[in-house]
Amino acid sequence: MKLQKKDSIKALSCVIPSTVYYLLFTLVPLVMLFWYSVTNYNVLEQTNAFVGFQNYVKIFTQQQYYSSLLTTLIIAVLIMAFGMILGFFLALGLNKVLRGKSFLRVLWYIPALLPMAVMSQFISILLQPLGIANNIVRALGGDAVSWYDSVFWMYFFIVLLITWKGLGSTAVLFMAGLAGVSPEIYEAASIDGATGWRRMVYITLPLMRPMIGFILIMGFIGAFNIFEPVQLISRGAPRGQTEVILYKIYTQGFDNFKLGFASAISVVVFVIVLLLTLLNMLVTDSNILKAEVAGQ
Amino acid sequence: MKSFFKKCLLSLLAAVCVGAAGCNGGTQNDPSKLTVWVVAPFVHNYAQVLKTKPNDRQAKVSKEIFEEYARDYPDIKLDLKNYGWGTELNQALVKAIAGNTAPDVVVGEMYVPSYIANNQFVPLEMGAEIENDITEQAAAYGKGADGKWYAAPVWTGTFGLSINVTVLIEAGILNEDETVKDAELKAAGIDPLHPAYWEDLLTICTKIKTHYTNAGDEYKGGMLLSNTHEGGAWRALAYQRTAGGEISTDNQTMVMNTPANEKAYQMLRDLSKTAPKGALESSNEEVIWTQYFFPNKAAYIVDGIDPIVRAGYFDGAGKIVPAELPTFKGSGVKSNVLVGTGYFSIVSKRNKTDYGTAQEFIRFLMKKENQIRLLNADIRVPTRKSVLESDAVKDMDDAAIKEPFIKPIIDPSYSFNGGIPSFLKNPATVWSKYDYFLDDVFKKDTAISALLTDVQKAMTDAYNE
Repeated sequence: MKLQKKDSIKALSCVIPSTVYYLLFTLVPLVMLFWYSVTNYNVLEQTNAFVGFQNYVKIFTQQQYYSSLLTTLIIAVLIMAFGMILGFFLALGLNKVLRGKSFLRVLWYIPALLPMAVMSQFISILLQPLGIANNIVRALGGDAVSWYDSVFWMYFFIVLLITWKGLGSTAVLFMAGLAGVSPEIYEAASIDGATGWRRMVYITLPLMRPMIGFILIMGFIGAFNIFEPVQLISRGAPRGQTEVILYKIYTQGFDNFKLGFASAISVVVFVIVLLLTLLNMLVTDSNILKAEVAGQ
Repeated sequence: MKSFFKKCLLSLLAAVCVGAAGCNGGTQNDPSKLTVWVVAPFVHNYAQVLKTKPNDRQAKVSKEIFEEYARDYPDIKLDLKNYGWGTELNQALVKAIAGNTAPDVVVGEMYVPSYIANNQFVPLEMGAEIENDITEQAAAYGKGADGKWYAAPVWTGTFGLSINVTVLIEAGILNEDETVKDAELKAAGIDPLHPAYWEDLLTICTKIKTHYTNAGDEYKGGMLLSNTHEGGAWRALAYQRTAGGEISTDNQTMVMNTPANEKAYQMLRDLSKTAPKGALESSNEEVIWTQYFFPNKAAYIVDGIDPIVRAGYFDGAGKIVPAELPTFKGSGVKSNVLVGTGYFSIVSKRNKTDYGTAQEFIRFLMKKENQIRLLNADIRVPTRKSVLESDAVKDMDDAAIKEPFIKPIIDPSYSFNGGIPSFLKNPATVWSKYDYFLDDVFKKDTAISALLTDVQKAMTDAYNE
């Protein structure tokens, strides 16, 4: 009995600091966020009165916020599509490499370590009217492109940047998933005459389903955190068509001084991300359960 | 058991310290320290800059001014910081005020009136000698509705026409000796180095563009225009005011839809056709200068003193000279825009009543000697009438360069106050509507009058959102 109490105290002493940290820097700000979202908190005007759900009504009745959510969703779908396909094949390739596997893995992971703001600024410099991108186009015989006037190109560079940055991490996750597939299954399939393609479709992909589901949902959650590429490359150009929801929160809060309204938008995003997280947990738990049942 | 509780308490204390560090109210109530947010020409880390660039003129003048302050006030430690300019500075200040970490003194321009209107700044006590000596143009942003001063204009600037003489020679407009070469311009009495009217400037720029188009080089042209966020509005205002137009009234009513503005924006559109290809896609003024103006790809740009000064540091830059801003034929309006003004204000703090140190600092900055130093070092136009009228200014070096930027302030035939309006509500949204409008002026064929009608409504709706 005494031994258990001692262990319990030891455990508490480890848990308390992080709990206090969580309370101070996560829970308290979260509660404040919910409170501000039902006020007209304006830093400049020094107003902070309760306004009920007025902010939420504004969000759900103004088309510009649906547009921002749609923009965020479109970018998320594009990032996931390209990121997962490229990440998967990169993982397959890295898995098969006999020499220099670690070196290549590190090389592909480097973009994940670079600050997004730095990479965004780099792209922004490339896209200046007489920047490298247009110099290449002109060298190939074309005319300089007005990158910022084109929705296509703005989406292209934002998606390219985020996909490139996340490719290494996605590949590492897929490699972890591939490591969990027993080589004996492949051997058995080879003996039965299955080609590489059939092995991938009927063995690899089904067994990777939990990892694919996890990456998909985490990717969508990550998409709601996109900000630097929009702030530093497009600034919403052309004409607000690349304004993601986080950019909207930022401009309302820090350019229009309306921290109360920005908080309300943040709460909406929080709820969406929470639902995605719960979905992720549901999918993950369901896959674990299926695996356990299959094992039995 | 005791040691376990000790560990628990130490861990808890560590966590609380980490939390408390984030809640630091700074040195707000420490009378021996003054935190000041500065911007160029003041260099916050001038000592470090001078180690690698001993001739950096902004660092040198910063050292001169702030070391004099340190000698005059040895008990006060100055903590200088730089948080950018314009929107960037405004965002930083909003966050600082919300987080109770605002500086004691802050520099600013565009957003200053909105902070004054919302009682975020403390009334200044500069004294009658200084207050009565400040030019009327600079007072527009610095005073509140109650007539008190809240923002001291330490330096200012106006717009002029920056001219790349090398391009004019290359395009056959001028001879090598800078006399007029083009026969048509000569016959019309148009001086490309001092175009009095926008219409004359358009004629010159059209000729330049034709010359380069015929030579197969569409990446060179006559006029450079700013289609950038914020920068575009400032420079377009110069055209508007010389046509007799404005963006809004003093009480925040939009007045975009006027014949004067129509004239101004039509001229902007016509001039934009003479711009080098791609120039209107530049994201900021720095790109316009370094990719087009300094490398001799365009002849004219409306800007402050910066291109004139910075050209001297750009390898391969052509000969760049300034001239007075043109006006419109028949309008009879001589006007300009007060731009790049460094207003210094004292930020109001909760539970603080004694702002004596900050007030002294503001009075120190506003000294005549400092205004002369800034003019000599970085061609920052003084805001004190006695300085502008003094022999010290008249007899200074490079008077020919300084005059186009000082004349609009001292010449009584010029009429203007301040810069672009500071909107008290939804400024980001209002200006985004303006940015779309300006982009349409440059890139679409829709009638200017129609665009002005639309933007009048869009900006008004955004303001009232």
